[in-house]
Amino acid sequence: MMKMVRLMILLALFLTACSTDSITQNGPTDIPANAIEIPFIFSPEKEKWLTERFAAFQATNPKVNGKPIVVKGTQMSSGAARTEIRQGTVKPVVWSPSASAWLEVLKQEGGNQNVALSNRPLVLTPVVISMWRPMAEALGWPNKPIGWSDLLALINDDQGWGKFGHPEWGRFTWGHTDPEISTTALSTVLAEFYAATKKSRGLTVADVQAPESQQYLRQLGQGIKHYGYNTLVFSDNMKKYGMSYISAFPVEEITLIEFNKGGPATPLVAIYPREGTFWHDNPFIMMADASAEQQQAAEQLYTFLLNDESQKAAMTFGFRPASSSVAPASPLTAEFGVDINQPETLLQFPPGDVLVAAKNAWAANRKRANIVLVVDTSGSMQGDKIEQAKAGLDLFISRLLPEDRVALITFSNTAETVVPLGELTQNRTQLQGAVQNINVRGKTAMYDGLLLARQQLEEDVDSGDRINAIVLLSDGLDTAETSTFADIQREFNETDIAIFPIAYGEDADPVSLKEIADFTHTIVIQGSTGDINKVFENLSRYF
Amino acid sequence: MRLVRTAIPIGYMVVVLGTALFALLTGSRPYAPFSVLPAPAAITLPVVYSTEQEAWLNAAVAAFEASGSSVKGAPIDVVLQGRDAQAARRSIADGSLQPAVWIPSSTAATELLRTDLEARGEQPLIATSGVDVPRSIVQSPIVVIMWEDRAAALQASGKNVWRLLHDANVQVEGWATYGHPQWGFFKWGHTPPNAADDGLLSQLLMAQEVRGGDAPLQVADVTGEAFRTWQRELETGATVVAGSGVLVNDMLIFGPSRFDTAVTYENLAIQFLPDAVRRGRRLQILYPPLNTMSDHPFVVLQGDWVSDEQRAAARVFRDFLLSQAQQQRAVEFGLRPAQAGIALDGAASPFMRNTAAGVRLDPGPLTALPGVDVLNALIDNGR
Repeated sequence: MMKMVRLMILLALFLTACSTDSITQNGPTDIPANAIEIPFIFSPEKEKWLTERFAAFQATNPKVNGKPIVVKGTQMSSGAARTEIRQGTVKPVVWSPSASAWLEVLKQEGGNQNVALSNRPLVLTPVVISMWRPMAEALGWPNKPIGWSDLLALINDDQGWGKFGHPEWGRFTWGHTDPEISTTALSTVLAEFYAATKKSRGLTVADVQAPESQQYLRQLGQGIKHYGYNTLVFSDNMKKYGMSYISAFPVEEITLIEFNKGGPATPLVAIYPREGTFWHDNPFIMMADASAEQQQAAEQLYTFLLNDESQKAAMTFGFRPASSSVAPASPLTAEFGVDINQPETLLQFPPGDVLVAAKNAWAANRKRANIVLVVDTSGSMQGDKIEQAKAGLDLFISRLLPEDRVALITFSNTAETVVPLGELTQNRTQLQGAVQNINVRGKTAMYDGLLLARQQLEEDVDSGDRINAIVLLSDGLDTAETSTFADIQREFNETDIAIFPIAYGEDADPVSLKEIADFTHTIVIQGSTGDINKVFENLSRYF
Repeated sequence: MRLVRTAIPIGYMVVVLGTALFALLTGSRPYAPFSVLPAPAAITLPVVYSTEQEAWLNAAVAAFEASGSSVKGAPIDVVLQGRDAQAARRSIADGSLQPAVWIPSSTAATELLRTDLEARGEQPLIATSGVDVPRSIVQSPIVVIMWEDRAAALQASGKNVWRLLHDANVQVEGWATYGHPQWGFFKWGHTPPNAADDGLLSQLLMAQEVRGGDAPLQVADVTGEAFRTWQRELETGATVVAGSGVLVNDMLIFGPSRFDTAVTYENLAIQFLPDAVRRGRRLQILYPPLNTMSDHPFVVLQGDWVSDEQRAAARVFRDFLLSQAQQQRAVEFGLRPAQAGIALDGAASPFMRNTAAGVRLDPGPLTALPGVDVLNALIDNGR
């Protein structure tokens, strides 16, 4: 009898264990040994939606062959994910970049056409040109279709917005992210090449490499205020500085909705380029390495993410649903700058070799820059701080184009031009040597350094041919007190020079650096000895 | 024998008491021991079907399970797996897919499988006589769906739908030729002929249009320069989408920016009409001048992996699908019944509700399937 009781207890324990073995929503520490794991890499704009949906999926205790399914989500930008997948440093079962374009890039760059088993859209968003509503209206929006050719004409027109009765808005300016990492930028570059060739399909490598196409790209580039790491940089600055910052920038429709949800004084509206645009289809890509059970598990997840509840949840974030049974609703409305009946036409998605050629052509033709590196060499920078900064500066210089012009100015008790402005083809070695020879001592004549930089940039200021920028690395207040912020305001007023201050270290003075950033409509970038290399790498994508 | 007689009650008691204890510990519903005798194990019936039937089959399987259908008291557990017909055909032929039942879109797929296996001297999987001879369970012709405004712009010429598609594709200026430059170039979608029957059958119908007449096609008709040129021209604006249901879903979610038109089954077109309206747009359904009926044969595969119980269960399931109730239900999903005496023109019929969208009771003249050599040539063309 005792034997029977023990048996019953064991059985009860076993059954109880069976009923709880699929609890996975408590995080990775609770993953059962027999779990089928689904490593899932997705692009950042889907993070809020997917994090919530993954939790909801786990709450259903999903199983395959009696084994619990555990989804392990990782957010990673599309371009970075494709690089890591190619290198084998990450191995997702499911990959969801912003657009299928990245799968084509991965296939092309990795030389493997069979890297994925399937590719289906999860949620959608078109690429649009976001523009301040009054500016769009001045161009004829919403009654007149507007396209890239209209923007090029405006960039080339010396009257700028004056041609449309608004000289107070100055020249047309726009922002552009890096197609090496940004899906929106990749789509934008393709759209620019299509506009250059007046084609809407069949873009070829020869089209991309044609001198006329590259000239078109350079002309559009004349209106670029500066490049950026991602679209967030621009939307943040547009929130902060309003219409005086830039006139427009290409974004995904969801970014525009997010901006308008914040209730800005002046809203943005979506311009769906009349030449056509691209959809970002946020694909659910099943990778070829997935086991049979992982494939079954991923299928369950896909079905869950496509159900009406999941798709409606995605819509609240501004995505368009990928299930035909879910009708578009708010915020996909005019109230948030959206026209649900657009886009009317698309540009044909080119094959992988054209994508890679376009990316390379952009890198070779992006707007050149004049950059003055203004580096704090006061006593407080000594030790590891200056050594790490030297490494970061070296990386920054190495990432610039040969035709970019760069100068190096240091400041301590006084400011000194160490290497005058010159093309990197001529002075790269000199700059790198000068950076390594930097010594630290004395006070912080930061404003003097900026005024000296202003002189270096004198030649090209406001020509529009180049981005004019100063990268200011400092860890403290101006203690030399030989010039003031008022001097900076006077000397830089109404120039197109952007100053990017890097507040280096915990004791950096955020107030004076923020004053400078606000004045030139940029942002203060926080840096420390631990991440200054990354800061410089990201900053190099602005030029 | 004694051992068996003793062991069974003890084992049974362990399970019953164990379950009762579990119920006590977990607070679940009280268990009523000894009130139920062990039921015969369910017969699992794996069914591979082409995806355009999905909505109807899901509903039919739910009704089938609710009906309590069984074989010698054993309940039947139908496990559905959607797979495009030609893709399934290849997997069945190479042994990587082994369902008990296969319901492709068309006899084209079963004929290709039969001749494939014959050519390789392998076991025939499709019965040619007896109770398991494939039977059509529902039917659906091929149609072209087009956004209403696009259809209005194109149809002014009065040409048949294949000519409309071809003409629109070859216009260098795209929709500007038709007075709508804002619509860009002409874009249409189809499924791959080597994977899905609607992709294959639409190619067949286009070849028939190019060749002319209604006599069965010959290999030379589809490999000749006239049709190959037509195909190349038509493909300039084409997007190939794997999965018949996926294609129509994509057409709706992306709207006319990606697909002005698509070739699909009539039943899928009918099913998606309300979704299009909910999205603020209307679709028109256009019928080719000569059509072919996808007959959806119910195939009980004669493979050695299919047990006698599964064969018996398959027949029960097939008869259920052919019942008047399920045939009538199929009509609600836009499918045409395979059984006589089922009305298409009832008040609730989607065929009657959607005449304004171009749905017709009469699909027009039909052509017979050509020989397998022609089908294979069409598949090769599409590679």
